Formats: sequence, C-alpha cells, structure tokens
Amino acid sequence: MSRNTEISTNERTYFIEALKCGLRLDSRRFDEIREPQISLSKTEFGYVELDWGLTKLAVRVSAQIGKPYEDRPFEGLFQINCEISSMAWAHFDNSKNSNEEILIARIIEKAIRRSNSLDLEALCIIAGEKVWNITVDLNFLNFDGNFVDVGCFGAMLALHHFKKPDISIVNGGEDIIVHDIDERQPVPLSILHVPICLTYSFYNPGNKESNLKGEDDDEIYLLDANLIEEQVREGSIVVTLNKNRELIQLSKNGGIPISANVLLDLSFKSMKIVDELTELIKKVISKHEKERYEELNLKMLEVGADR
Amino acid sequence: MTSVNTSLLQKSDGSAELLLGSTKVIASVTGPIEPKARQELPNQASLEILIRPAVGLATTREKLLEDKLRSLLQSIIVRFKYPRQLIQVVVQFLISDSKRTETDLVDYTSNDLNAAINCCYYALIDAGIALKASFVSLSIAVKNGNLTVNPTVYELAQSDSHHVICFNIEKGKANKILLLESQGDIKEDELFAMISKAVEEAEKVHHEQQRKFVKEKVENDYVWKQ
Amino acid sequence: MSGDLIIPGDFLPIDTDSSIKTTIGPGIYKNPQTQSILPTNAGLINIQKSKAGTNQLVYIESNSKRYTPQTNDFVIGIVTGVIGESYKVQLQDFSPAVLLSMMAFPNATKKNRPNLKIGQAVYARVSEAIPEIETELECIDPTTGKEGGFGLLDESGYIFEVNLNFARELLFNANSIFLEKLASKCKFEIAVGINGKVWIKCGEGIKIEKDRVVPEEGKPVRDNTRDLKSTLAAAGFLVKCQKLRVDQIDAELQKQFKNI
Repeated sequence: MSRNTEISTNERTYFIEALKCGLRLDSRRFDEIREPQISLSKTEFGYVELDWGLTKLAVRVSAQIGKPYEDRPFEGLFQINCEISSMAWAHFDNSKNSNEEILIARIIEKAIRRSNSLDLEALCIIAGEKVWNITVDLNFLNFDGNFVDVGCFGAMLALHHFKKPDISIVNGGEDIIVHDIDERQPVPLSILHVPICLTYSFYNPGNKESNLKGEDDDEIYLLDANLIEEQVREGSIVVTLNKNRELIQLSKNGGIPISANVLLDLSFKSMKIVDELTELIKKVISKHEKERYEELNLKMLEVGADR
Repeated sequence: MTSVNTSLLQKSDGSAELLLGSTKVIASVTGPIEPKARQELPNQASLEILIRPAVGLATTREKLLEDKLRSLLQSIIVRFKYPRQLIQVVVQFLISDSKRTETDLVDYTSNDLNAAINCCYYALIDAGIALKASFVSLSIAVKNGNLTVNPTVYELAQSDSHHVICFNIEKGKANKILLLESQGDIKEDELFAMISKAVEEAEKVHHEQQRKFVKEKVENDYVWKQ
Repeated sequence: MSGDLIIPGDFLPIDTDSSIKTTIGPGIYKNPQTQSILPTNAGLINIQKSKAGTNQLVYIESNSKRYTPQTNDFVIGIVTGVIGESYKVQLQDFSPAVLLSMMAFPNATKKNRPNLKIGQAVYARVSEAIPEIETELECIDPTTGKEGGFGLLDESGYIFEVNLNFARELLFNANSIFLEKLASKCKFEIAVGINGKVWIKCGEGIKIEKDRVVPEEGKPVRDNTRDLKSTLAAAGFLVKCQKLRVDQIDAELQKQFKNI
C-alpha cells in the first residue's frame, strides 16, 4: 500500500483563502525564504549540518584517489549521492526511488555537476592514471518542503568547506604521497561558480478556465514552499542562477500553465536572493577560516614577512 | 563523553541523536504504521530497519549491521502489541571513524554498532514503542587482560580482541545478554571476566546516563504543565 | 510513588496480592505467557487504589505522536475514500485506515445516506478497536441514538495537529488554562480529537464564496479576514504552547494576536 497522506479540505481552504488575502500560514512574505541555520564541523573538513526552517540536512564531502574515465584522462571524478530515506518522511520509500526523489536528485545534479561548478581538471594528479574522486553525500534528515533548494545550497556550502589532503609526486611520477592534514595544510577545491536553486510554487485561486485562457495573471507564486504548501501546490518551477547573472537551469515539469513574462520576472527577482545566499556562503566560510586560523595559531607557521 | 538529544525530527514519531566518543549517529523511529502487503505479519509487528553510513552509499557492511540490530530489536520490542503493523527504524551515521580506514585497516564497526544500538534505545523511548525492558550496549577492547570501555579507534586497532555487548536492564539490574559480537582472540576466563565487568559498567551507564536523559525528555514533554 | 519517573523494565510498585483486582492502562503490558505485569513505556507512573483497597488502577502518563485507536475514544478523522457501505477514514498520516459505516449516523437508512466527500473531516467515536482487525468508528451517540456532537466538522474551521498528551489536556482538563486564555482574545468553537487533531473556528471562520453575504446598505461590514486571521493565530498559539512554560504563554498569546 503506497504511503499517501490526505490533506483535509479545511486546511486546503484556509491555505488558499489566506493566500488570497496576501497571507502565508507561517507569516512569511510570498518571496521570502526561510533563514538557513548553518553548522560547520570544526574537526573535519567537508561536514556540514544545515537547518532550513524545519527541513534538516547533513552533507558530507569526501575524496579518494582513483582512475579517471578513459575518454577524459585530465578530469577528476565527481558525484552527488542524493537518496532520501524514510527518516525524512515516511512517505519516502527505502527500497524504491519514487519519481519525486529521482527528480530532486536530477535537478541538484544538473545544477552542480553538469554546470561544471567544480573544476574537474584541477582534480587531476597524474593524467590518465590518478585523479581525485570527490563524492558529495546529501543526507536528508527531516522534510518540511523544498529539498531541491536546500540540497543545492548545502552541497555548495560543503564543497566550499571541504579541503583535500596535499599530495607530492615522487619517483618521477611513479608514486604519490598523500600528506596527512597534521603534516601539511590541506588544499581547498577549485570552485568555478556557485549555483543557487530557487523553487517557486504556484497556486490558482481562480477557476481552471481563466488560467488556461491566460486572460488574467492572478496565479499566486510562493518562494521556498514548506510541506503543506508543497502538497497543495498546482505547479512549480526551479530556477538555478549564479552571482554572475547566468541562468544554469530551468525546470518546469507540468503543473498549471504560467505566462512567459512571469517566468522572466521571477528570474530577475531571484537575483537578489541568489546574491544574498552566495554572500552567506562566503561569509560563513571565511568566518570559519578565521576562527581556525586563530585557534590553531597558524600565524606561527606562515612563511613570509608582513609587508 | 556521551550526549543525547531527543525529539529533534518533526516528521518522525521518535528520534534521537547520540554523540559517543568520536561517533555521532541519529536514529528515527516511526510506527506503528500501515505496512506494505509483503511486510505484514498476522499477529505481530514487522520491523523495517535501515542503516546508512557516514560516507558513501550503503554496502554489505550496513546490511550486516541491520541484521544484528534487527535480532536485538525483535526480542526487546513488545511486537505482539502491534499486530499487522509496521515499525520503521532508520539509523544514519553522521560522523564515524570511517575516514581512518584508508590508511589503517581497522574494523571500526564495533563503535558504530554500539552507538547505533544506544541511539535506537532513546529513539524508541521517544516514539513511545512498548519495550519489554531497557537495554544498554557497550563497546569494549581487551589488551593483555586490561579492559577499555568505549575505546578510541587507536585502542581498537591495538587490542587483542574487541567486543560489543548489550544487556537488558530489568529492575535496575543487567539481566540477560541480548547481543555479543566479538572480534579477535580471547581466552574463556578472560571472556567471562569481560562479561562480569561489562555488567557493572552497563548498570552504571543505565543509572547515571540513561535515566538522566530519559528524565530530561519526559520533563521536556510536560514543560507546559509546570 | 505516583508521578515518579518509570522506564521500561523497572520494578512496578503495585500490590501483587491476588485478592486485589488490578486494572492496567496505557504503558503497562501483561505478558500472556508469564502473567507478569511490566511497564513498557517511559513516563510518570500513576497508581490509584480504591478506598476499600480491593481495586487498583495503574497506568503510565507519557507523550507520543503516534495514536493507537482505543474503544470509546473521540477522534477527528479525514475521509479518504469509500469501501462498499463504509467510508475509509484516516486518523493520522500513515496510520492504517479505519472504517466509518454509512449506517453509523443518526436516522441513516439504505435510502438516506450521509453525503461525505473525500477530504472532509468528521468527529467520531471509536466503536471497535481490536488490534488484529480494522478499527471502526461511529458518528452517533450510543446512549441517545442522536447526533451528540458527532458528524461532519464544517469547512469553515481550521484543522491542525498537536502531541497526544496535549490533546488529552485540552479534551479532559476542564480547567485548562490554554483555552481560558484564548477565550480572552476571541470567541471560538473547538473540537479536540484524542488522536492529536484539533478543529477550531474563531467567529465565523472562513466564508467560502457562495456563502458570502452581500452587506446591506447602512449596516457595518464584517471583515472576512479578521476571523481567518484569528483562527490561524489561535491555532498557532496552541501549537506553540506545547513547548512553553506556564509563565511564557501570555507573551505568546500577545505575539500571535498582534496584528488583529
């Protein structure tokens, strides 16, 4: 028996009526995201815990040395594991990936991996033989809507936080020494751009006919839907942008039709939030770096004079 | 040092996060809920157990841990109370010693299994699932006749043998062994000495830590009454 | 003694004299093989002895989120479908569905059936709750044969969920301060299901389009959104109160009703 949940007509009605009055059930504005609570690990690189409202996520980045693909000898390997267990919500099946899960995994993968946000050539050690294999594990702990935006943000944050061990090549390319992090400072990854996903959900307060005819544009858009907003929505769109105003991907899978200029409008409006979130990543990482610098007294290890 | 948080996942019926040494694990319990047709048992609850590692995808190692956890939970949960229902248990390792295994060939699984069992206890209590008794698990390393409880990965690597032992606690005393997993060489008399010492330790953990954490949880649940 | 913390496996401080009749409640289990009585949940133990000392009642007061149906409980369920002559009703997400017979309504006959649609909420009484088979509900008062407050909960009210111990407090504690405090802010109607679901309506709640009354000339217009906002604020208040101490609830009440 599939694990379905039924929303009562009462909740649905209240939700739509509140939207018509310009209210969201959790008192946010329509274009406001929930504030992320970030916790970066102090003991290891690449482990991040992220709370986005009630949605909780734990991300881990790990690196191993492996053989590159034969047709791409200069590039490292990079994969994102995004399996959702029933811990996040009993609706998610442990044995089978539903369409929903596959869609979430694919959108995150397209946003991060296929857009070349991580410089794969910088992961090369010995061309054709040894390269770094970077794996990002996204572990969703609690579902309150919007795994796509949270997953993408969490993955980018963890990639910024992660540092791979320093290596030396000896014996004319025969052997590689991987230095322990206590021996040599580890090296951050080379990230070319930071994609940020934003999901808009739409609701049609009017009737089906006027929406299809496209006479008036009174569909309602909400940014960063929580669980009940996601269950009641009639369509959604994921826009992935980066700080350089580049559109990485656009995903609208069915749902109610929207007009094209609304689409452009949403993309423009998203820029502000994309800028804020990218800034947030940079700020959190640099604060963490500074704290580490001071705690470990790294100033003593620096080679070079103060100018 | 052990620390426990409960009720942290809103969508699970019961959840707990445990930090034990350098292992951090989170467990969620949901149930009794509607089972799938193939999972249904006519007069008892069926258990669905999933363990996910800290790094990478689940492998045979996690399947083995699931099996061990299942045999433990099957005997301690009052399954006849929930016929034709399903209890779902998911254990997610957040931080474990796995990164060490690239360079040292150490079986860190003992500490993981131990943390998973203890975490499940708090998650089951949080979910209100009926248990026949409380249970406490310990990870013990033996070297030259000396025992170390909750060893670090280095202590595990240098030990002669290491064990995970779980007792049920009835009326404040460790009564039966629910699980005993051993690796390495150990003589018979050493084994029995280890078990006696473990009984003492388990009762200590139960009285000093388990009762304390459960008390905190119950007080939290009724904070609005005070 | 009563009110002490008890956890599974602990010693149960009841009178084991065979002449005393013991009634066990939630959290206590009698092992059919050994006939021993054990505590199976963690919570506060509650033992009540009758004056004569011939009867004792023992149960554990504990909180959980997952409801297990018991006979004579009053619950709020959502209709999810029809099976034969009964409605399929869901008491909680992912819990097994329960059955509400179409005949279990006042004045129901084969020709005169209730007209419930999928998604509507009903207030019902659990009539049969044997664990091995499907639970059954009734929307009829067993003693009078009349409606007795059961039946459809109309769509102008809002439904939300609380923990089971809080639901018990709202339903059974006549002196509950939460509802008293709420009454000082707005007039409301409330139905509490012991399965953790609560239905609440402040004022008129929501007026759906077809029910909207055209205001008459000269009479003051009733603001539709005021009741909607009050209802949502009341629901938010009750949900938040589960995590607050008694001295913090006034501040929370002010915060929720700030803009109304």
